[in-house]
Amino acid sequence: MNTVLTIARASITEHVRRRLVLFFGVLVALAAVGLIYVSLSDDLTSTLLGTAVGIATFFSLTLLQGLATLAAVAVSMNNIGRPFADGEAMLILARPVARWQYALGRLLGSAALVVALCLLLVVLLQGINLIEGRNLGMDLWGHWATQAFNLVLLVAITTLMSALFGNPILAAFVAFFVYASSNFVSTLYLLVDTGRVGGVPGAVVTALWYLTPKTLISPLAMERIAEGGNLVGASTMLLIPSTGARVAWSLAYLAATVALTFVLVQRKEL
Amino acid sequence: MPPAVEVESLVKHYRRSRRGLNGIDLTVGQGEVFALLGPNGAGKTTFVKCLLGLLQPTSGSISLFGDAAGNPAARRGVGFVPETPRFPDFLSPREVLRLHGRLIGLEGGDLNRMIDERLEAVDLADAPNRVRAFSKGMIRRLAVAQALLGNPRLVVLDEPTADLDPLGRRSVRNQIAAVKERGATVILNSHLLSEVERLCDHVAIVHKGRLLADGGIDELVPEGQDLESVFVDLVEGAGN
Repeated sequence: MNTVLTIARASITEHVRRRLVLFFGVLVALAAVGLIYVSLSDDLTSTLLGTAVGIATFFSLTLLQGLATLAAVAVSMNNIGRPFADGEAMLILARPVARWQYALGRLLGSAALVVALCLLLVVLLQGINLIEGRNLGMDLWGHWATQAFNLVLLVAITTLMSALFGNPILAAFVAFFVYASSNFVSTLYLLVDTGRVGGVPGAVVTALWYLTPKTLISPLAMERIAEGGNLVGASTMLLIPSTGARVAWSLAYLAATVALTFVLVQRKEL
Repeated sequence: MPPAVEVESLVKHYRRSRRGLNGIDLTVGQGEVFALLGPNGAGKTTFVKCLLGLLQPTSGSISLFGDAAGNPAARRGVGFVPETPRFPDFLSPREVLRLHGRLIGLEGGDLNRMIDERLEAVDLADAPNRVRAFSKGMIRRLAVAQALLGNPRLVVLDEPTADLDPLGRRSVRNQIAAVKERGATVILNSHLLSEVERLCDHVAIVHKGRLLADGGIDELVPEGQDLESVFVDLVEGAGN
């Protein structure tokens, strides 16, 4: 375990020193200033967002989530491809380090940064809630806990793509596409599930549905979908009937992604 | 006492290249300074990578001190300087050595003392704060420092004096001599035959993935000849 933690620590140092953490820190700080300004301007709030949704919930579920998603891809797109391509991994792997330990260490380093960012965002939003005089309480924490899990899944997918493709930009795009494909494929699957599409197209969509990640959805997000009248989003969530099944599915997807990364890293030549 | 390195019928074929290794049998005893010689593309670096488990052999077996080379535990006590060393450029030289020290199980005061000694030995104690500001020669010296951290029992050096000025070359030579003196085994890939002649007691010559000669310097180099002429005769004799 010490080996994995040593590699994870070096990976965190890499992102801090490459100023990725600083970059996202500045973005979060700007978002904080903006949110506090908006929350103190009642007229602006009601004009821009409408009081029914509530600005903290709105920003929590959209803008800051987008920022965290971007950060998750940015800190993991170079996890495997670059150090193997430029030979940096060679000196580490010439030590008594198994390849799975190297991959897990890189992945954990990125995951730790993403979880820390989620923690920062929830503290920020809680503060804004207090300024606004609202209290979302545990809902907000629960929401960002599910977001943290989803983003760790995105980190794992990006790390897998980084092991598959040498090019980090390509790895980032494909990972984001796979991660974001979940809702689209679930919507298509509705057509299969309700018997409107069958045969080969139905089989292809069913296969895709099993291959795409199933992210966790927090009660806060469900509430927002209900409030916004987003029927497609609500119905795709219903495809897995229970929260337990969705959690099990997401964990299985995460485990499979990590296992596949280990296999690819094991087969990679230096 | 098992040999430091034992290689049997080692074959490595690449998917997209005709280069590789075609049945190498070799034994390097503990405490020997062994040199693997060969023209460019002969398979020397492939051999070293197979030895360290960085490449999976197509067939054959390699053991380090009796353990299969593919097993990470076999690399405990092995230091390596690759042909083109690359370090995370955002780390300081001290942090690079700390990272490698932790990977071989060193911690605390012992590790700090060894880091100071190693940086001093390669003249990097006052080096810039980040590896990204290093010249090629400085990176090579840092690579030597990390390879010798923790007094390994086997040191594998792939062209360790490339990019070094005469002073740097002499420093590396002295360190190899010190490693030999404390009884550790050294495997050296080098094109500098005079260096090999001066340092090594066991030499093998490979060409196109095949072993052309293997033995002590005294056995391979007849009286009145030097290693360079023996090397050229063997490689040219083997033809294309």
